[in-house]
Amino acid sequence: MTAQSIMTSPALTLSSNDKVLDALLLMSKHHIHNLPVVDDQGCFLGLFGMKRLIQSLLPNAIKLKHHGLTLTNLEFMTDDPDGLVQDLKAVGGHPVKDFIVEEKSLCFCQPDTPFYELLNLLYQCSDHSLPVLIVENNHQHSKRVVGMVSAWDILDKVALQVFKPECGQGKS
Amino acid sequence: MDSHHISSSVIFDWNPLWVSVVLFLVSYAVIITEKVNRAIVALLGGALMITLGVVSQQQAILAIDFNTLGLLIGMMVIVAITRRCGVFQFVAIWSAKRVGANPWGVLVMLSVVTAVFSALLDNVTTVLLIAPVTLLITQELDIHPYPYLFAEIFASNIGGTATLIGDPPNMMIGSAVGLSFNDFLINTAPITLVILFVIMIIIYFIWGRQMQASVESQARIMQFNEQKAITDKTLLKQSLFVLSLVIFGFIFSHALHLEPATIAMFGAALLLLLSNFKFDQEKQTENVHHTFGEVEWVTIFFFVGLFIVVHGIEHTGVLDYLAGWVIDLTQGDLSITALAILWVSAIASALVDNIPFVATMIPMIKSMAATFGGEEMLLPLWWSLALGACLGGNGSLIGASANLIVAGFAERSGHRISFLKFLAIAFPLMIITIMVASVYIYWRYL
Repeated sequence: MTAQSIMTSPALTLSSNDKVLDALLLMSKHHIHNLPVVDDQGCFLGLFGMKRLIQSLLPNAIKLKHHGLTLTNLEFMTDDPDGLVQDLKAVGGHPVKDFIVEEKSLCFCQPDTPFYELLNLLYQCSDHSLPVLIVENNHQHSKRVVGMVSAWDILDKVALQVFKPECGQGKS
Repeated sequence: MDSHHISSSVIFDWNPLWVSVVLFLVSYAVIITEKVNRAIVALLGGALMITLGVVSQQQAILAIDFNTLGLLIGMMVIVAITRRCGVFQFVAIWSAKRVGANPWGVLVMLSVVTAVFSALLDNVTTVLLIAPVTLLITQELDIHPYPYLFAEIFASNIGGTATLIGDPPNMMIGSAVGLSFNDFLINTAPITLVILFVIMIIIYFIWGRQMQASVESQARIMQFNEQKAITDKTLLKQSLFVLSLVIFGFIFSHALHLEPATIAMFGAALLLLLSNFKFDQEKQTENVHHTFGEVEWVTIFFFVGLFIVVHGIEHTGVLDYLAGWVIDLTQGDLSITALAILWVSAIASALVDNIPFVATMIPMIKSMAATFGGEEMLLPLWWSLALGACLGGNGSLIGASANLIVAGFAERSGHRISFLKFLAIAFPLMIITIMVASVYIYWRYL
């Protein structure tokens, strides 16, 4: 089993000037949390995802990390529905390129990467909401994304495949 | 001094004076370039002083001021535990609400809070925890954070000047000369109040009078619930209890016959005990390990190496020679010497780390005792050194570690503080603080 056999092929990519609002509609329609952003030549620029969007709604101060210290708790802040609506509207009009996760925090592998290495990459990745990107031409600035594997793919295409017969029996 | 005793032990019969001078200069030069971590440089310099035979290991160990180290480590442990309970955030939000979240009021309050915390705890931790809250509040108020961060840099260095435990140079001076917590409280604290007031007035005229925020944004800050910023009420009580006890200990150290290091270490051990009492053995080990991990060992080992390197040139008589040269320059006049130390310390501390500077100045000033008629006559010089070295840190972004932390935060939140832009206002303001300090030193001690 290689990465290619379980990856979700990205029929869907975003171009860097797509608006956040359009990206969100696309993500909602296809039940997917992350989308690769590519340039005019189809080269990978970064990943647009829900977590990065959530970050953009938080105060800047929460992003300052210094050995895990500083501001970690916002319990003292009260709800501000109007402010949130304003922030969301502002964010929705921005191009997706303003909210991409940079390459350095992503994991990449090739279509022929073996299954265990793929699992390992998913496990080692610092942010578990991010998928592993399957790329051809793994050079800086000219990566072409051919697919993604997230924890969901492991659940759907590996784990549930194993348990499906049992589940079926249990039901009947 | 006693170079003839040791000349035979220096390898290849090199002149110990020159060996020590070269080691000292090379170490300091590399520290200034910041190409190699400063703790590594200082330890290597210290090790070479011993290996090349300038000082023996025995002498080197005696040269390390364990009173300063104990005080530093003890306070670092207390701070490492205290900062987890959210008290910094609580006080910052609470103070902003006391002035109705008015932009200029918030700046003054946050500066005062920064100064007070910096005086009682360390500057770096203070800005590490106050600056993010500041950025949050200024974002909510939709005003530029630069004046706030600028004021907090000044407040942290000015606050640190006020007490024995506020800034490492004060700890070193206090320990080497035997000046107590109260001595600093009586001598440096009053003038820091004046200086903070002067700086606030200047900042008001530069930025403060134009500050404006919408009524709605101020109302949002007023809705913050600062109580919720406290993440651990029990820990808060324990920390405040131990901190009060330690401050009490410092104030009555003379009557208790206790050195600052003992008091700080006692406090650290007590707070470790209180905060770990409820946990099982395994969790305790993990917690204690974690807390010790937060002690800034780079600073501690930097001190260790530095004390040995400085002792090298003290031992070979270089510092006596330098002190004689300074006295020649100032013609043995106490007033001129005191003011010269104040200004040179301030300029030096704005450009380079004040710790190595102060470490070198202490034995040098000590050797001036005979000229000025006894150790007690040196007091004006010690206050000049303390005020110059601590306040000088305001002169540039690299003047103190706290400045760099604030600049780092500002940059990551999208408001870069440029080195030159900061220098253009901070350096003249630092000069004004030193002018105020000069008047104070002259009026009170000379």
